[in-house]
Amino acid sequence: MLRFRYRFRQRNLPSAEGTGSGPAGRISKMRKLVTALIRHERIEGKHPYLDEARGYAERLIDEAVRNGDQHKPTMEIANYWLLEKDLLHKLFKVLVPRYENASTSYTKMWNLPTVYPGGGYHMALLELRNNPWPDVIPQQREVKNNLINVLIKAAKEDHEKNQQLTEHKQSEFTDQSTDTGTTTSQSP
Amino acid sequence: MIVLPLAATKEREPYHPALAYNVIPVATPTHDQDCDDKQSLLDTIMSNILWAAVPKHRRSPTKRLIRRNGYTYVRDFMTPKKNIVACLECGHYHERHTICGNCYEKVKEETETMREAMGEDTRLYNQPKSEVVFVYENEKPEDENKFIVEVDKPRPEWFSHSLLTKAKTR
Amino acid sequence: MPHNVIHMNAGRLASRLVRRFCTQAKSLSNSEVTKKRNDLFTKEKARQIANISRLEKIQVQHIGPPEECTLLMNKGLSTPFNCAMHIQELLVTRSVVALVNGQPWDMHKPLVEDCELQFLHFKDEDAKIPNEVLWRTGSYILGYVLENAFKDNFYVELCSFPKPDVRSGSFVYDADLKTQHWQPSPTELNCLSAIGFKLQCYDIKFEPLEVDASVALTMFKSAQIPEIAATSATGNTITVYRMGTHIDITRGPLIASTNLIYRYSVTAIHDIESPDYGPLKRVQGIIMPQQLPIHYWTYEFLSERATKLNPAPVPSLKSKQKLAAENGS
Repeated sequence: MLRFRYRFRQRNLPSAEGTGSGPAGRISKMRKLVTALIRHERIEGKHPYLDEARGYAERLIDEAVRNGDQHKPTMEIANYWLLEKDLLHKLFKVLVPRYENASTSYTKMWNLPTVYPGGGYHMALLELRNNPWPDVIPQQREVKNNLINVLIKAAKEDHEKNQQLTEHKQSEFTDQSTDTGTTTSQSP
Repeated sequence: MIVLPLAATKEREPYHPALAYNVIPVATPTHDQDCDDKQSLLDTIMSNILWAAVPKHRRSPTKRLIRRNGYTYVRDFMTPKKNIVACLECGHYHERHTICGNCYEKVKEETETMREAMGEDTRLYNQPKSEVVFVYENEKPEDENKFIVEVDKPRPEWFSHSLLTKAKTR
Repeated sequence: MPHNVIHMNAGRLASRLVRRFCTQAKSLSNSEVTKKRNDLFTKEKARQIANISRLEKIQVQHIGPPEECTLLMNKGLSTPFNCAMHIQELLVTRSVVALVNGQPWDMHKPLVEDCELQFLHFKDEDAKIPNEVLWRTGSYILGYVLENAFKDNFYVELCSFPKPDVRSGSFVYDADLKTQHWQPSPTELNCLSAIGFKLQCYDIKFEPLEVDASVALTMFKSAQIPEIAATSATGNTITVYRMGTHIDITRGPLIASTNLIYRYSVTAIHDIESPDYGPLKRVQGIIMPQQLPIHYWTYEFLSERATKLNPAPVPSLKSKQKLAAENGS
């Protein structure tokens, strides 16, 4: 099971130069994109194409991670999808060890800002996780000093303190109830 | 096709009950004498061609192309964008769902220099069989098992050496 | 003597110490007092500007995104807000408070020397200063709400408000509302909140003005003023803030403008007893900024916590405390 949300229905992508039209043309284009992703580990392109390729790339890496390179059907799949054969070695020798114990998806996708004026294309960035290039978003900002977070944390601590107090009071009360034979009762 | 008689005159012979409607003019010989103009089925249709909807004017290429492609242009270029947000790191503007273009330019430039340092042969034809590690100026390679690429410039401040640290130190 | 008579006498004695405009008039009203304070403020501000005989220039260096630059501004007239106008609109709309040489500075307070300038907003990684400034502004606005809510039916005498503590969950204003037995209903609290909430529709600046203690005493007759003035740099000045027509004294910086507010509520009114001022009402509230849109559920959850009595210290005169300590009583 792939660890990200992919579209259930395939996009019927239009014919591109050098890849042909129809379902065959679409697969041809997907192969090129998957090959490029495995090679360069970070590619830019039109959002619909990269989103489609993402599913195929994830599935390919998933098969390789599960079955390893001695499994013949997986080898055939990799041989079909990776058009340049030095990438076969990369997939099984580099990417499989990298993602062996991964609990997340193997790829990440970002939306790039639209260029104005232009063709109005929605551009995106697709990359493999833990690649050697610098992070697209360099540092995650700290939000713990955000006003809302400060208030909520204080409210939570307050609530927990009150809970402890009520528990303590309740336990005191129960202790007293088991106490028998005493005439003087201490008020809690 | 039901064609009602235009006028029921008293001079006409009374209709046979089975032939109350003049369905096929040819089948009822009695009516042949009355109707002067023999109308075939096609003629009856063609004579009422006023019913059909038909374009009055030629569609110019402008109108045609706008209809086919214009909706995208109106949506993307003519409607005001209310989702523009300032990047908290650099202050440049971008749409809310995209990454900051200005911040990404820096990353892209650095990636390019790293790729060139790798060399065309390694990059395009012979990808290494182990993880690639980039070593900048005045840095020592930590793991000898990995494929080392030397970059002849100092490491940028924002590109941290240890990429897998979760704890933020600021 | 019956108990209630003693109580009333004590209250009358105490109210002399509470800040109020001392006149010969038989009946005071908040609107009259506000108008007089406003006139004094405008006069004093005009006098201070007229005192600037020659325009001197200062170099202000802006640090931080979006652009690091050096500006040439007017000494004693240009504010950080003016600097932001020269740099980018983003800084004008989102800036809450400025840092001048590392110290918090009001956006509308004139700059006096060459300095380094930084702008702070609520989405900063270290938003401690903007949060405190917002909380202080919440208290200030509570004063405005209380002075204007009852129109001229009650003469509300504001006392003071303590240092802002965001973690307590609410900000506070202690005042003498002249209504001893009043438990506000939720509708009444909503009405009070609405007065504060409506401010966000207007772009009302919070104008600071540094005045001499004597001028401040003509505006507010309060025993606290000499104490506050003594802690200032010169030893005799007090910062007075004006928001539209409302004028009040507070130490630290306030936010730039009322259009930064997103939500404002008055959450509770508690009875407190001050040793120097007698029985007072502790009015509590909660405020949220535009830059941090909050879900209504979260806001109501936080408002509920804000109904609990705020543990901030009760207002008292420090000089009296000192005397008491000296006398050993």
